[in-house]
Amino acid sequence: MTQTQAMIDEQLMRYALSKAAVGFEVPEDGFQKLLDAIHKPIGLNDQTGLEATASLEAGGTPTGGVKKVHTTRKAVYKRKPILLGATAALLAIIALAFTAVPTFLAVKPSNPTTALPSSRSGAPFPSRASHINAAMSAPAGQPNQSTLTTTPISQIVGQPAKIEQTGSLGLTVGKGNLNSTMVKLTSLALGNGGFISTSQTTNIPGEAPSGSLTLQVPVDSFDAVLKQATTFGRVDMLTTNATDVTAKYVDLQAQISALDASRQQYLTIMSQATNISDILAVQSQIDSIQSQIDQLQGQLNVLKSETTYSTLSVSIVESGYPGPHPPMPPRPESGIVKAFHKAVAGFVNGFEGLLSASGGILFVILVIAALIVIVRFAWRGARRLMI
Amino acid sequence: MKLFAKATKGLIKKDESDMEEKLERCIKDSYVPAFRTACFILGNPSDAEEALQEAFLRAWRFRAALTNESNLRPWLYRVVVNACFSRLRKEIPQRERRTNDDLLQQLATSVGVPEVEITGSELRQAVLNALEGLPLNLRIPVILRYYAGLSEQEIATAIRRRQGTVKSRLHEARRRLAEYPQLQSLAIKSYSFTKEQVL
Repeated sequence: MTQTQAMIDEQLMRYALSKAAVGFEVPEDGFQKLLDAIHKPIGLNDQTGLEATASLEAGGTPTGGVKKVHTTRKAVYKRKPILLGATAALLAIIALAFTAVPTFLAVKPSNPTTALPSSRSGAPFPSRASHINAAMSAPAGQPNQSTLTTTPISQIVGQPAKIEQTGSLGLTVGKGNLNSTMVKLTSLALGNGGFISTSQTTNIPGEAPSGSLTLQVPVDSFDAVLKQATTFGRVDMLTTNATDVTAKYVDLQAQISALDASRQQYLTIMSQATNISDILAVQSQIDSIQSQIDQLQGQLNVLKSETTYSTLSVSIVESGYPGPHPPMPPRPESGIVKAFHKAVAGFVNGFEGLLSASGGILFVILVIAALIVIVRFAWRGARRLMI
Repeated sequence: MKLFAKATKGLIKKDESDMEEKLERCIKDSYVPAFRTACFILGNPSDAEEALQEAFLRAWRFRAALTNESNLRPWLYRVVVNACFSRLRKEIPQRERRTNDDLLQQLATSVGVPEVEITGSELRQAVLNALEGLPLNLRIPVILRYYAGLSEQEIATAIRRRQGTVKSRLHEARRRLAEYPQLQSLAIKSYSFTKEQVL
């Protein structure tokens, strides 16, 4: 059984609409106004193009008021700030990306190094290249660690940089070469104008003989001494650390100068004092200042010493001996345990991958979103103008 | 070569001026139906006049985009419909909307035989109420088809939808308008009365 839907007759609809339309009074001068607007020359003043033609008085309104016709161009102008805002946002994102991405993508080396300013002449600590060379001298397959941590030198006018430098070196020498190596290191320190501050050797039966030396060498010779020391055996570990203490040095000097000036003033006052109580009071102040000066001078002396001599700690061990605690052979894993470990490792790897990619993905999403916003506004604007 | 370019330029200029003339004529012919179409969409003559001016000025400004003469009328209606949409979306909600009271006042000013006037006024009100009940996507095809007299293909061009979509919308609109029995009865009554008057 088919059910016919009730629909209004088309002819009746035409008739009804035409009847209803008659009720809308057409403005008498509407078309003439339109013609005038169309044929009006476009000026170059503030009202141009559509604005000039469209700012017609829409007469014959029920209220009888004078109105301006709003134009599409005005609507586009209204959107201009939005477009500009979107563009600015996109540029900001790009700028942010350009600053953030290099940091994000920078490969962090296992040995954190900081480049030194090239302006510093006569640097008393080894260059990065020398450390790389030293580290490269170790045979392949052996544990090798080289760390250089330096602090940028603050540029202080009129004050040479004061660098406190330390280093530690782990060497493995051939069987029975421990003593000869220690002698060589001592000679090296003395030959470069330095000295040995501590020395120690250990020889426990069943374990590899080992020893350690602390070399104090002038800062200017540190680089050369370190380089030469690395040739005495296989380098297992190499660490250097340089700290810029110029600021601290200058600060101490300034404090001492200020206190000295105060002391001089108190001395002048004391020379003019007439009674005992005044003399005692001033003397007390002078004693206090002198104590402070001595304390600061001590710190300054230590700093001077530290920046005059660099410390290199060398630990030496003979090769060819088994280690004190041989590693336990790993227990064979069952299939399930192996699979479980594999699954955990896979999950962790996947999560790490996702996490590391999230930054880039977020950036791409932001850029796409900004582009969509811009294209959408531009498309809308273009569509309004092109229809 | 130069001569060819000159001749081509001249022909293009001639074509452009021909198209301008045709557009101007079309605007003139379509002014009244387009105005009333806008009235039906926007619900009041004042907004309709503004929208129409805006639409025709826009059409004139972008007349160069028009290449096919046969599409002139639907193209113009498309501009008008878009201007009305734009007005409905952006400008009318921002200010106090004029109610249909203005429209009814306008309707009340129509002239005619008193008996016809009463029936006609009722019919107009019924038409407006019925149109008011239709969503815009159904209302516009109905107005363009049964008032402006556009074909389904032309409506499709005007509202940038497929012809099938227009067809189904018109069908749905007619089905919904049938739910207004008063509209149908008043239309029949008025139609018979007019026929009698003519005879």
